[in-house]
Amino acid sequence: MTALAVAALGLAGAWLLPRPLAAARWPYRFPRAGIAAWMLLFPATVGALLAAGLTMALHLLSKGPGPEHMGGPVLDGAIAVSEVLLVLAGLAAVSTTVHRATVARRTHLRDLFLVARPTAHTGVVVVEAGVPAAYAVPGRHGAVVLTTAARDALSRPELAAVLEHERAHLRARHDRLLTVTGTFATAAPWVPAARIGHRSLRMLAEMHADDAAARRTSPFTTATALVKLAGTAAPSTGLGVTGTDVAVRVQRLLDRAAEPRVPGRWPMVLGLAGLAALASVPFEVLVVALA
Amino acid sequence: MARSRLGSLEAAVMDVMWTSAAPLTVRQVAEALASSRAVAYTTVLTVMDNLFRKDVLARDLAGRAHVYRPRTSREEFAADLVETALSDSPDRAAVLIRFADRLDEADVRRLVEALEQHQGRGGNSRR
Repeated sequence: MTALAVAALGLAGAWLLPRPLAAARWPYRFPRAGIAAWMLLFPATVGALLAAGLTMALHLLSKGPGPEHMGGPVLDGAIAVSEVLLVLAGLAAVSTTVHRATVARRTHLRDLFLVARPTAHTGVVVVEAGVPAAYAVPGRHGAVVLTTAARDALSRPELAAVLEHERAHLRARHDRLLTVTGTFATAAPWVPAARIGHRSLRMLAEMHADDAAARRTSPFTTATALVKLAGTAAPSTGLGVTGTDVAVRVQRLLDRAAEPRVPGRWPMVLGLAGLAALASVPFEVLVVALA
Repeated sequence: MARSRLGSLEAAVMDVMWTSAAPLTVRQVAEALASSRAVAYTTVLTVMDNLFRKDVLARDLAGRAHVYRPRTSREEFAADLVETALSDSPDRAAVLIRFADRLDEADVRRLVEALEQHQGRGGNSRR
């Protein structure tokens, strides 16, 4: 019976928890804790399903119908096989996206260094272009790229904010996290944990980097830099939703500038503790099953 | 290590190609580079052949030698590169991390107003 209960817990977590977690206020105030929360939710949900299936498979291997033996050997076998296939498919999908991203990055860097000029800041290059833009190319040979239009549009403190923002992304390796969640969001968009989780993590990664920039400069300076680089020439193609993220980030920085008091940590602590307890369930199940 | 040396040679070759008014042979590029760095003719040949295969350089046969020219101007090349970085592709988040997504005019106007209002309140506090 426990196997089914744990499986149900996993499904409930994957379907019912993402919405309240995405709507909660505390992840916006403590983006790093928010990122940790999502990283607990994934093992809590996927792990519960895998652990439930695995206990059934273990009973299958030991042949005898144990107290938890629910279905016949055919059902147990089907569960075990589909579980192995699912894990393998997940690993294959992630490694494919990682490979594609690595190749695309390498190509971009190679082209970049044909036209980019170094700056006084290490790891920062300038490219001549009329569109004000800044972006980071992650990786061992990565770089922060600034267009000449962006350099000219930004004041010196704003420039410092932009560079600190991009460096924070590179330091935290947000690209790795988003590669993995992006793969699952594309492969299984009907699972709320995958779809909502990826979207929330993108936003939280930006807020984490915004906070680093705000500490180096000020929230207001970071906000003006954001607006200057967001309001540029050509209209965005497709995926119009991302534009609203910038508005939320600017408003958040302005709220912080107006009300610098650090809010209470209790909701965050309770949220993280609850998710940690949930994430430990699959391990407990496995320990009990193996004992 | 070897890759980054070749990479910087590619950039040096493209600098020569982009500043030249006329198409150039490999020998002419090697001579232009010789003033600033010691580099063998065959190395320059390899680099330029790579750039041709990557579609950065175009080449025509003039007599018995190839003459090379850039496919696009330096400005166009840079603009295309940045445009790729800013375009919305599904894999984009994994490849590049952009500072800000582009907004439409109405959104920008609203945000500029919010910034001005904030400044008007004198709330430009640090942190």
